[in-house]
Amino acid sequence: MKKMSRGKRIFWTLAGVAFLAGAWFAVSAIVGNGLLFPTPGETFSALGRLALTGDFYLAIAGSLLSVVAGFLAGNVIGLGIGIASGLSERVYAFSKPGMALIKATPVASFIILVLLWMGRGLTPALTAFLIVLPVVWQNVVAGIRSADKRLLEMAKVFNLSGIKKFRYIYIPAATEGYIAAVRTSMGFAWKAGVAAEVLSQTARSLGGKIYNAKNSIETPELFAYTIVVVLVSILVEVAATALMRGFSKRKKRAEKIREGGVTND
Amino acid sequence: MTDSPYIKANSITKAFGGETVLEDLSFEFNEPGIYIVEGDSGTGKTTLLRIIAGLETCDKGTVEKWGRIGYVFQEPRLFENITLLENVRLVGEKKNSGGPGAGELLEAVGLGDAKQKTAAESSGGMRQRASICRAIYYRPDILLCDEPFSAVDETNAKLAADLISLFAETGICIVATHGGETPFERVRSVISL
Repeated sequence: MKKMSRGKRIFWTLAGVAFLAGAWFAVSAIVGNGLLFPTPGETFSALGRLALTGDFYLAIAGSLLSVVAGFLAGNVIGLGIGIASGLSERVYAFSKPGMALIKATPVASFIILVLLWMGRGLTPALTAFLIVLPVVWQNVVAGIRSADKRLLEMAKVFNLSGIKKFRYIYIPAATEGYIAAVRTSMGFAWKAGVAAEVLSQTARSLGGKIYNAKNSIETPELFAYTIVVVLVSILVEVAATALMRGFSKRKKRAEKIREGGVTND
Repeated sequence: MTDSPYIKANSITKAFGGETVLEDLSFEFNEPGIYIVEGDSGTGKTTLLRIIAGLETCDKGTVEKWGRIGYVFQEPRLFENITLLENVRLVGEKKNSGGPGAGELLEAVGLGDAKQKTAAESSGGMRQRASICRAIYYRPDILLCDEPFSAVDETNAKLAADLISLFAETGICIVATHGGETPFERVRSVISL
């Protein structure tokens, strides 16, 4: 694909947003019923009203707290099991069926089962956890397994300790896959977490607010909360990307120098 | 049993995919010094070093050896994001203290000013010289060098060769090379493959 200039890319992105806004205007005008399909004006007016209440911010904070807690737990445990699985065939064979099961199970089934077993309070966090866990596990295993065989051979010859091998060979190998896992799973975890809140009618959460708006046929509010979910999702992804950029910066710099800068004496 | 380093190859044979690269090769190195293994590409020089280091097994024959082995790989195999000095120090062990320090070794091969550069920031020749220092800093009894001067210019190759020669006063050093001139002033024997 031909690479575009930054200006052109921004232009076409704005054109895409304008198209969506135009489609929204057009569809709402065709439907002509704010309870079924509110106009952008009705939606943003509802959003403005909601933004003046403290409950609105508590809902955002509550959702973020649940999803981030589940996301972090999924990362910690996914990293732990992923590293162990990458280094040991036994651990890999043992953990693979469980991870495959978690990955293949529909999100809705998870939510309902967790709701049934754990109650509504923990459902969004646990759902986010289960979404993140197999993604982190899989990418970390792939990263560990892609460790440079030549460096491993060198480490064997010089009898490097397990800690040194881990620090200098396995961590750099797993970092790229882990960063990709964080980027991918954060968005999924957020959407699944909010879906879990809707189904479990969690109090002080965006999902709970969406459920209430749907029940009271407050479609503009439902649209407004949905916009908030999308905006928070974008912000969270931007934050996760910025956080991870720091990790990958050094690696990319080294690769760039190696590709372009290595010459003989 | 002896406590001096030695390597004894007894009729070793190695083939890859039906193609024999080493056939019925025997030799014995039991005196300190530099031993050259020369031959064109694909004649089994690297394979021979790898068999001695225990990184490959031979199909037939045996290799007897005594001594701690250091290896200078054909590609330097350094960690990219740490300095040349750290790369060398990484193979050091407390029990092997004594002898020249990592910094001194790097200075001896002309890398005194570059030792704080990361491997990624260093040229191929600098990396190769650092990998020679690393292998010597490991305090081996046997040093295996696979084309150690392939990326190094003449002046720096001489410095590196002097360092290897210093090691070879007490240890066995096997250097695989394409043949022709080497920067060593003295070699004990040459095996042609």
